[in-house]
Amino acid sequence: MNFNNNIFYAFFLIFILCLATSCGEDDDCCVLPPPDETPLYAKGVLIANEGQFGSGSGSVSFYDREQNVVENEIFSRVNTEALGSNVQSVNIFNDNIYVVVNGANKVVQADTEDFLLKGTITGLEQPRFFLGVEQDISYVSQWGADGVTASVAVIQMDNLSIIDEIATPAGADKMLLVADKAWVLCSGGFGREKKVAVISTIKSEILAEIEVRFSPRSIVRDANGKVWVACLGNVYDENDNENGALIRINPSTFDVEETLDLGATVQDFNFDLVTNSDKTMLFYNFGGVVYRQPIEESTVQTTPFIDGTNIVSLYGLGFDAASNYLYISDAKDFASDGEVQRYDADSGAFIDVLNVKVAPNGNSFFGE
Amino acid sequence: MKQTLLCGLLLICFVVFTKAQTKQSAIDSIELQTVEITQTRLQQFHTGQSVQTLDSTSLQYAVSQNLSDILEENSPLFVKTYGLGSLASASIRGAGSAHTAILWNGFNLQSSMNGLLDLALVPVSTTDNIQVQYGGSSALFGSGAIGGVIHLQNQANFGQGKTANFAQTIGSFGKHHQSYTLDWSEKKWQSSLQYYRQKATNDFTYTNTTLAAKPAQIQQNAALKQEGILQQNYLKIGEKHQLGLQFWYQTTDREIPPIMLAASSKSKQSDVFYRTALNWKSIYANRSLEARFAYFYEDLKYIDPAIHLVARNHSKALIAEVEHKWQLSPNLQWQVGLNHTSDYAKTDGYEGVGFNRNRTSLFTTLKTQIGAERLHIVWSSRGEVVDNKTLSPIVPALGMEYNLNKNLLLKAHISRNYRLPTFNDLYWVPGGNSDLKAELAWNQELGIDGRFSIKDLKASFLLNVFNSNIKDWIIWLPSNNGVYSPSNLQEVWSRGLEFKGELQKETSKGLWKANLLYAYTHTTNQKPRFLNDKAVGKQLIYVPLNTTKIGLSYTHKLLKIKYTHQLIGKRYTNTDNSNNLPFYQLGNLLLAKHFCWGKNKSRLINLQLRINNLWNEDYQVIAFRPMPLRNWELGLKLALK
Repeated sequence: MNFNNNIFYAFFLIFILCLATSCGEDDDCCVLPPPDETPLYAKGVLIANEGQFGSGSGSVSFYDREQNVVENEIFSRVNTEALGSNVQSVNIFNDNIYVVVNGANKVVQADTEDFLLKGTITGLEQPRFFLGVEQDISYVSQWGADGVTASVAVIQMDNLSIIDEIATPAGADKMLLVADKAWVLCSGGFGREKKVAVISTIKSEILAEIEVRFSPRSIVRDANGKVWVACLGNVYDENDNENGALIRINPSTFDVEETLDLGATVQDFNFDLVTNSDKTMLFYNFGGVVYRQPIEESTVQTTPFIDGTNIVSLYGLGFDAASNYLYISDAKDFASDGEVQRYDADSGAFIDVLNVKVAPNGNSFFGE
Repeated sequence: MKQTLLCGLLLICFVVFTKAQTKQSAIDSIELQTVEITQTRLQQFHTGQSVQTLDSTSLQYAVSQNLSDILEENSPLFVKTYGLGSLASASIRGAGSAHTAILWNGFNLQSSMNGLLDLALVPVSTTDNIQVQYGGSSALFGSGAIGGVIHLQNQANFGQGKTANFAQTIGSFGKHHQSYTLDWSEKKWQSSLQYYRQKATNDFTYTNTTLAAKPAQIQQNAALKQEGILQQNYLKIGEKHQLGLQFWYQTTDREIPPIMLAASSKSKQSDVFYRTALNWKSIYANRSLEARFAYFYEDLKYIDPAIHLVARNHSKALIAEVEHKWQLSPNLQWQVGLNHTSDYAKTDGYEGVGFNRNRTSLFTTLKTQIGAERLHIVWSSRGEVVDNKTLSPIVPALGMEYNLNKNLLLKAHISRNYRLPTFNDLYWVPGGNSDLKAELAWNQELGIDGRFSIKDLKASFLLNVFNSNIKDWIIWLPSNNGVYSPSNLQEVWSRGLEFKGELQKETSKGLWKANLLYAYTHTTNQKPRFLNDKAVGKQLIYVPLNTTKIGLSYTHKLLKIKYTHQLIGKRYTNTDNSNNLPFYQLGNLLLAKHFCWGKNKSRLINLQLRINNLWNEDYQVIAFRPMPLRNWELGLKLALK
């Protein structure tokens, strides 16, 4: 899961900060904190439900691991307002929840304790993903009003204002923080693109543009620190064939080290790539089934890990390290409540189903 | 080419046949049954079914309105309207929008591409008569007539001399509507020309319920501009032949407003059509012959500058139909007809390829009266050949009416109905499925009509219960590889009732009218469409269980006051019924006053004020599509003879 890195860094940052502040001025530093200090909504899994396309509001569902219950439509119930059209992704950064609402051109900030609305980042055009960069800085990738003039908006977190916009190739999408660099997939948006833009978070500028295959859609880091990018291939032009692929990139040299060709273009609604806990295994969806790929193997697996017989419309894939479960989103007919099917990441055994709302995607946030 | 040939052939047959008839009829005795013979197929053969005719006065007062407005107010239908001036469609008895056939002078206007006709694009001023037929009627009217049929008719009106009409309406949100009609009719011929145009900015204020502060916002990008011409000619040749020629052109440019949840929209849509219809009717002593031809040409362009999208749709239709009716005996009528329809459509969605579909159907009806006209029985049937290969199922229908006494009429009707897949269903890239079958339905209904009068009080009622099972309903579902594709997967059971009650009291002080229209529609998904389908047994989306319309009017000499009230029950917006839109009610008020002068008071001015949404209801018909609060229209109509 591409979020794991951001999360890791975010928590690492928080940890350091907590250490720094608590040791500096707190006499009670030796008193153990109460066992349940983590805010409620940071303790489980937040799931983005995109909502009925063009005619419905998206929502966020919360899966409470301890209670084993799903709480749906939290935001609209707590705040008596709807999130808006097409909830794209959900994230936690600095103890706040960030929900990216694509059609409504906003990112909503909510409290991790009670999900109350705290603020809104506005002025965005087709925002896609949120990435916490530093304590007071975050990035929001956006496609732009026309779907091709993409950029990464730099957000000042204390007042949620846009302080800069870094222009990128078309379709700025998922992002991954690798040390002081933000890797931004440029998926093409409403056009075509095959690049990964690497932004220096210090200089706020693009250091490199790595050419991959058409429509890079998902990005993760493996046990060796290598970056993997999953690309759809050329799905637009039959005469210009390019298969989907998993591409391994060296994060220091930006060189493409390995290209695992999938043998066909990927036509799936979403193309998600996640890793297991020790990051030695890749999982991705392709053709409505899920494959498992050891990072050291140089040939692609041909037997599905999860065969998809119980899945109507595979709409997303996530990995929860806390339970070692794969989360497969099934959006069904996109007009009724969808579900998240859970499978054991080691055996592939079906575990259970979480009932969520309309069109759940794979851009969930897995809390500690 | 082939269809042109076939049409030509039909025409030749018709001419030859007419000539033969002329000779024969001269010998025939003049034992006229022409009243029955001259009726339309609907009038004559809807026995057992419920047909609502919108009274001509409501049409008169609705010059500036479109078909969706008038059906909303005056029929028990739930009209799905996406906003002021936006797309509107009607579902009858729980069936889909594409299951309502809409016929203009007998020709089906449903798009061959998506099976719909936008009711918001049909100005009331272009029609003389609107009738809503409840229940399926494919045997009489072919593919698409599963839920019901809306009939739009233009009628000849001979011997009226020269008349000129001018109507101007202004209203809220920049509404301007004008129509000019010139009409010249003599004993043997009539010619009329109507030009109409309207525009509106539709920038109404609404409460955005999706935002925390519930702010009042102004609807953006919702302007509309429309103009059109309707030219009609009618000619009587001798005593027996009548010729009708209609030409209708219309162009509409609309902006497509954003939904409440989205920030903005820059989309636009333009619709242009040319519709030409020719009708030739010959009436003899005990038979009639009718031939109809129509040519429709439509262009639709959808632009979304935000995503550089320009989508063009282009379609044509050529329809030829001959119909022959015999009065075999005083109690037995027989009709037989042949219809040939050739559809063509081309769009970027078919990767720029144009597709053709030719279909020929044979239909026949037998009607008999038994026991001094107390019992009427109608049997009809239709079969259709599509592209010379597929034979669509034969669809029969049987209707009965029994006069219990002079006040009560019992009705029963059973029919099989169908709808062919649309071009989008078959050819859309990606997803189109050329293996689709026709949708099939069985409909049954029972009804009772009553009419009573006591002194100056007249009362009437109508009660229908219906049952309908639709199989192989085509739905587009996502498949696991990311592509939506249509299949004959849905099975729907619809049952319910309609009630219409009317009270009328006429005294020297004026005419009072009150009516109640009520529909109960329980329509459920019967079969899982995929694994763990939570929609099974659930009400279809946007089919309210209850709709009630109430009308109260008072007419005295040249004054008219009319109030209508609509109560629309909750509508589910998700197939598993997990979300719904709440009940809403709307009140509309009309005040009209006529002034007459001149010889025989033949010159007339009509002044009218209409207040829509009188009680300022904040409502949505379709989720997140805002509707206007209270608004008004002021109309002036001038008629000169």
